[in-house]
Amino acid sequence: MSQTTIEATETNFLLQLSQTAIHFEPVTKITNVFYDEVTRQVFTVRSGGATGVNVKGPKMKNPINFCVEDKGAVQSIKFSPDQQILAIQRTSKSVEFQNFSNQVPDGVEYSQSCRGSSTTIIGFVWVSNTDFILVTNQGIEHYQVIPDKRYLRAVKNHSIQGNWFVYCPLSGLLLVSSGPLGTSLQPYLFKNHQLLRLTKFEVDFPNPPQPARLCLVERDVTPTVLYNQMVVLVLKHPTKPNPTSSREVTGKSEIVVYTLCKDSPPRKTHILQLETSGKLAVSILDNLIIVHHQASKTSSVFDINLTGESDGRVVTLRPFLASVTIRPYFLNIPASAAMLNHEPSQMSCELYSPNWVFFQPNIIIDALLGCLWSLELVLTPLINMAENPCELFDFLLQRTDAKPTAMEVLSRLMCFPHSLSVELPVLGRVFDKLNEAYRNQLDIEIQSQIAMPAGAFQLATGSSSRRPNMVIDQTNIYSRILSPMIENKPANEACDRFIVAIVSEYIRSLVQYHIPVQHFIYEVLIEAFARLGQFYQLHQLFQYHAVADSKPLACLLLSLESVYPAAYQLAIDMLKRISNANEEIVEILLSKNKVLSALRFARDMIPIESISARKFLEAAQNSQDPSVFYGVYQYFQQRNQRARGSPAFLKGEHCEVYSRHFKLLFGDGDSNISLSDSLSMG
Amino acid sequence: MTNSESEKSHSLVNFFVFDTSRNFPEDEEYKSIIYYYPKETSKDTQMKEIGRTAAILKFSQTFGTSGNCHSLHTRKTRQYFNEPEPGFCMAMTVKLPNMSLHNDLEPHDKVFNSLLVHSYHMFRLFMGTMSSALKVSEQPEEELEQLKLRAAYFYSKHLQMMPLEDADLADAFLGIQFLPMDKLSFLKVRSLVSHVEQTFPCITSTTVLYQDQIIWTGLCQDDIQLIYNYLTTKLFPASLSLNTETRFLTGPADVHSLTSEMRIPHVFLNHSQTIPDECQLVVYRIAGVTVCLFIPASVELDHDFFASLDLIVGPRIVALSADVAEQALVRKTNSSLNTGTDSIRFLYFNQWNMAFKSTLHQSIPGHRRILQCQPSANNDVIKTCADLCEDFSSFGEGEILVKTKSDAWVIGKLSNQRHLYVVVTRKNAELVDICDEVRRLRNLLFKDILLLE
Repeated sequence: MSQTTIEATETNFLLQLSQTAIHFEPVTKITNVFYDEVTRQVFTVRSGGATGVNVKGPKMKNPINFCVEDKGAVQSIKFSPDQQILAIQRTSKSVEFQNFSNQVPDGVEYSQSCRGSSTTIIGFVWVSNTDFILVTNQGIEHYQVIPDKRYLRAVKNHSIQGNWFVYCPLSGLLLVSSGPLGTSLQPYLFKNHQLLRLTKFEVDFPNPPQPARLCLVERDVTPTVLYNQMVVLVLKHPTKPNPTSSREVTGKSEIVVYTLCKDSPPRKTHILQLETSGKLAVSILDNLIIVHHQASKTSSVFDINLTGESDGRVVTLRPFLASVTIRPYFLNIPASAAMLNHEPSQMSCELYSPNWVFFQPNIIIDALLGCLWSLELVLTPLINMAENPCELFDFLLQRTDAKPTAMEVLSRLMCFPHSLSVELPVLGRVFDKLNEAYRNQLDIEIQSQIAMPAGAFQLATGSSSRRPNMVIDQTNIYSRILSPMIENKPANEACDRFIVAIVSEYIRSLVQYHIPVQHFIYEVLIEAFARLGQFYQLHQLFQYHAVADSKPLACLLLSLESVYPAAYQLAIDMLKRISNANEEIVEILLSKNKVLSALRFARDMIPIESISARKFLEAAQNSQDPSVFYGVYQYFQQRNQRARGSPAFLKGEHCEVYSRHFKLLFGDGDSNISLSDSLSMG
Repeated sequence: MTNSESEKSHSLVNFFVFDTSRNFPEDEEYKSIIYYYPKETSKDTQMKEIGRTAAILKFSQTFGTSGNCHSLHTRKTRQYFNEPEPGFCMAMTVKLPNMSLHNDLEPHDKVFNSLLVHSYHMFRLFMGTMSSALKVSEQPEEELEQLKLRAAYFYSKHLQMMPLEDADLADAFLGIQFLPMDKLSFLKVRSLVSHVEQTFPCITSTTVLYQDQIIWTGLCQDDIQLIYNYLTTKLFPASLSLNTETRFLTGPADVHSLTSEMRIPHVFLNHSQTIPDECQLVVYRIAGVTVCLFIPASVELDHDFFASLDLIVGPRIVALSADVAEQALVRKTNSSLNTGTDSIRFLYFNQWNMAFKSTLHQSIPGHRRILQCQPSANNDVIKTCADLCEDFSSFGEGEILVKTKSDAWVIGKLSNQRHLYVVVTRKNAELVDICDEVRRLRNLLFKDILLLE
């Protein structure tokens, strides 16, 4: 796995903050700010809610403003996902609720206390519009809220001595830390209004402190979803080799990825090796793990689907991209404030500020500035980093909206003469990657076209053919790369040889993935061979059927006959293999003045009634050979005799002129020459 | 060769090349002789033969109706003529076997003429054209000196290899055997060729074979016909005696040794151009796959070139050869007709792409093919094929059915430059059966091409 460092020039920022930040009142003595990962809402609570609560979020059109009675300092405040119920925690013993309608509280609070007198609440989470989970130091309490009755019904209680918990709204996974070190993680999965307990797992922690104290903290554990798989990321800080040693810690941090499988306990599957240690935070973006390092103000990007070193169980990955930075961000200052201070109307924002708090999956909050952003991925700078094209395409193929970037990279790889540095086998492997996705897409299309019984359908969708994020098909390659390349190409042999090489390679890859090659791709190849004058080489391609048969290609070959006579043979052979091209073969043979051959072919291959007598008689007359004309004329007379009991032609066949011609040549009398005699001539 | 043997088959009486454009003084006319075999022949006899040949050609040019004279038939000999380049003439005399004993052994003009023409083409391939060997000089005889040396060097070896005794229609066609394979494997070979040519830009053309069969060639038809012939009749048989570890059949004997001796033949290609290309021919073989690389003579090939070629190309070929070998095996066992059953055999030649295939012959890698029809019918049948072929050249396309003296049927067919000769040796076969047999064969082996009735 190669590691690429990007120079921090203007166009080279892979990460950026969303242009429209959400502004909220910064934290002060009287103002508290809360963020809820489930609803992605930021709450600003002034004076315990008495002078107003303001709720904003990236998913909300308009902020919600309301007041609640100040009954003490708010410790936590969260809406139910549908914003119908507000939960406020002010003490460690109970949570209060208020129903909302039309974003206005009804003013009546109801309360739920945790069980047991020595129990304290660690926190709570809304797992659905009515399912409410209370996590305490004694266990998990699952309630169903019945807002009409202003009452909570206890659903289930899981007993566990928790230190802290994290919840992933994407998967419904609740992770509770227990044990004196905090390294024992108990996952619960919320599904269908039920909270299921999954298999507990231990995060190994070398050299635990004596006496035992909490070592694994909430901040370092991130449950999330990558490539439709539930995973838990655990950030591990370097440990001191010897607890008594006062030496500086020189090791590097790593992230351990635990994957939660359906029927087996969570398993350690990946180790992401970081270049740094210190204050780290994780964002998840487009199935990527982005690790931010505050001290160096850089981020590293990991993709667990890329290949790394594997010991058979655990894959060790180095960052796909290291030391990338977030694009500088400028904050607009309200016009009046700017005027007052004679300052520019924009100020640059400190990136990786100590005031930044990272929330899942990709939310960044600066509590002092009062800003909320989502982190965004910009793929275009990758165009300049094609040192390892195979890995780059592995990466791009997994991203959403990567097609423009991928096309740009591809066109650079395939452009002449720049890409002479790219080895053809490498290009071939890139094509293979693209065509594998292309094949999957085609499989899915085929499956959707075949009507399948319900049972079989499920089986089919469960197969490996996952709908690819990006498909670069033959039309894309042709219109975006090949066609412009041919239009602008220098008229030299080297370029045509290059075109032959890359297009052959592309076809090789398509064939390998059993994708039918479109004739316009072949045309590029054939025309390049023709420009090079390498007709014999072209011939070999056809000889091995490396070019699929089609009528357009047969026509193209016929057009090459004047420069390469053998193309005629290739064309007519191709037409023979195409089942419905017999008429064309007859036409070609007639145009070659091979009237009797054409007639014999037609006799064997075409229903006798549908052979046009006029066409053959005309060609026979043009051949200037009376014996040929005689044979053809006799053949059709006999056909008429058999079909209609009379040798005469029908009016609609327009053969009168040929009957006259026959009389002119041979008179009225019957000849003794039989049909078979004349047909075996020539 | 014992006396009795020489009576059973054809033998070479003489073979000579002479200049027809220069005027030598009467007593120095022998200087126009460029090459004469047998060497021991007296100057007098040489001059007489050449004088007679020149006279015959002149006579036929003056009184002939259809171009030049190609052969002269006498009771005991046949003489063949060829004017390969303006101002040069070559001739070859073949002694017929004892006629009363072997009535059917009359040589075929088409076949023997081809041998003569081919001998010039091979000369041109390795030595360049005759005119290119001319030295500018005031003295006409000095002009020819270089050419005489080259001719002596080349023909002294070539004549020994000339298959006079068993030459047949296949020698006249001088076709190429292509390896049947599926398109994906073929495209993989193409991909390998592109890679090689991209990695070593000095390579102007590449040809790939598996055993004795062509998979891909970048040469033009005329050149590959000769190169293929050279490889299969000379280089490959000679390589049988080489160490099996040897990968470069031409090039360094040992790629790992810096001091290894280099032996790279030069060939002259693309004679349709005003100045043919002089190329070095590097032949690399590994795992049954042979790769021929053509590199301009001006490029100096050092040890590094061969070492990196071996390093880069070797592993890819080995990977590929497994595929290719598997296919070759599958195809061999699949079609019993390809190996030839006893009662029906065929010879196929496509003039457009030089593709040749014959179950009348048996090909053994590294050896000259041998006829494998029923022994008594051997000459009879292949000669009939040659007869039919000659008939086609005057008659045009069509189909001819013949029954030979040895009770075999021979069906000749020419359709769109494709020759197909089918031999059916079945006792008491009727014409209808024969036609059915041929149709069955066509539907089996030639279903993908259009052979007109």
